[in-house]
Amino acid sequence: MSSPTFSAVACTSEDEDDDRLLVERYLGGDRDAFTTLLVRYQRSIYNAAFWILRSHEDAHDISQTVFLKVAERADDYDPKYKFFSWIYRIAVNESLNLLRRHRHEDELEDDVDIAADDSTGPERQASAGQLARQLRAAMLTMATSDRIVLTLRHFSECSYEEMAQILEIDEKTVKSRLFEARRRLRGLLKDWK
Amino acid sequence: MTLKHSSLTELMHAVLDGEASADDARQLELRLAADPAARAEFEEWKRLFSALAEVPKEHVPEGLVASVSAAAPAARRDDHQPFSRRRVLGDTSAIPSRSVKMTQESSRRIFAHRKAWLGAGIAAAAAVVVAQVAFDFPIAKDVTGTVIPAQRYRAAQNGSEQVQVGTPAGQVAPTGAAPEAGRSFAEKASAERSESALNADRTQTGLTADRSQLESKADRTQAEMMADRKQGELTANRSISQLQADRMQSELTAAQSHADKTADRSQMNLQADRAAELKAERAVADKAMQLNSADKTMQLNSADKTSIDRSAQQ
Repeated sequence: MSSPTFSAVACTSEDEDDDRLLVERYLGGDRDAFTTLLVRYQRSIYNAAFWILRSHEDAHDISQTVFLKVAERADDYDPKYKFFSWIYRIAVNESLNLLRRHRHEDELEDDVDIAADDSTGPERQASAGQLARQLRAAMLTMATSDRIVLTLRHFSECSYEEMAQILEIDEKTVKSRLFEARRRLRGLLKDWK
Repeated sequence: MTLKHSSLTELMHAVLDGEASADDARQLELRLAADPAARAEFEEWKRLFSALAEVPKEHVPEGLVASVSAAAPAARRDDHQPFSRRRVLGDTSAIPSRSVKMTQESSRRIFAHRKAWLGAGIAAAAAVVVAQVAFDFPIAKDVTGTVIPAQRYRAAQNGSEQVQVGTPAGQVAPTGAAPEAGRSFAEKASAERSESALNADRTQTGLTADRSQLESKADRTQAEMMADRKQGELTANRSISQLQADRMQSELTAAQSHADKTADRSQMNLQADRAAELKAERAVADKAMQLNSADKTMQLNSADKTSIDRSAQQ
């Protein structure tokens, strides 16, 4: 399945070798290489952080933290693995750490940034767009673990194997969590059939 | 076709995720062809998957790239750092991941690096001891105060494990057991590698804490200087205000004095004028009296003359 909205930031990036090269160039002192990586992944990292934290402000802070950590610890990156998996794992861990620190999980149920998607652009008028809006609102009410697997799979197009790497769980658990999350999401949608 | 409903749904998800094997996909196809209810459910899930792909992305706020680029440190390859992973462990690409058993060759290679490092370390330590014995370093005379240990390990530091990608799930160790000696080397190397990394982290943490302490001290000094400066400015301002007030008071006093003098002078002038007027009035009165007296005298003289004339006529 191809996603028009996230195609440029998918886990299955065709620029894997280029990513590794950019990291090497950055380690060699080329700051432009880092900027290229930053521009390439800012959207995916920001979106991942947003879907975990449900706050644009926190997502912005976490995105900054993630990229600064990447800059500081680029030498720790193991080129055997995909750069995206590495950076995404940092983003997930940092976001979860922030959640634990702020105890967002239960306290922000009524304080999520749902209103940000109330625009009335033409693409939002269609019924498919309405369903997408319902999905967005429903997902924002789901548990963090559900949001993470749904985001990784559907917004970042990560494979089961990549999700397992990022979340440090086995593929069977990934498949199971994803299945349960989708069932719960479907249960939250009313009159969508 | 005896799939349970949940298994059937899982199979549908796997197919829609593109993760099902060809056999699984064919099995589902057959089931859907024979089962209208399953077909309807599959269509529902398909629609949900499509809708998820349409969920609009969040827009990244402007300035993220600029702010990160400005704050990002210059790249540093740790080949030049004393405790870098690469310098301590050598080329890490030669080291298998944790779940993979090490071969004798890789163990030997790591140990060769380790021996070189141990030799270098011992030589460096010996040089320090010799220098200490050979040269009697004088104690600085001006050094006073209490020596206290640096406050380290306070700042919360993220460990390197937070940013390393672990062994992929499902990765299978190579078949065939490594020789026992190789495993022993591997365990030793792993332990020593952890120790080296820990030492490096501790050193880094200590340096960071020291730096934070120095920065904090510098900030405090800066703040105190600013406070002193503000206090000085306040005092100066107060002095200036006081001087201005004093000056105004002096000017007021002078003005009052001048006014008083002017008033006195006016009073004196008035009195002098009054005296002059009185004198003039008195002079006029005297003159009038003199004139009056002269008239009376003349009248008497005239009367006497008349009387004399009358007497003479008689």
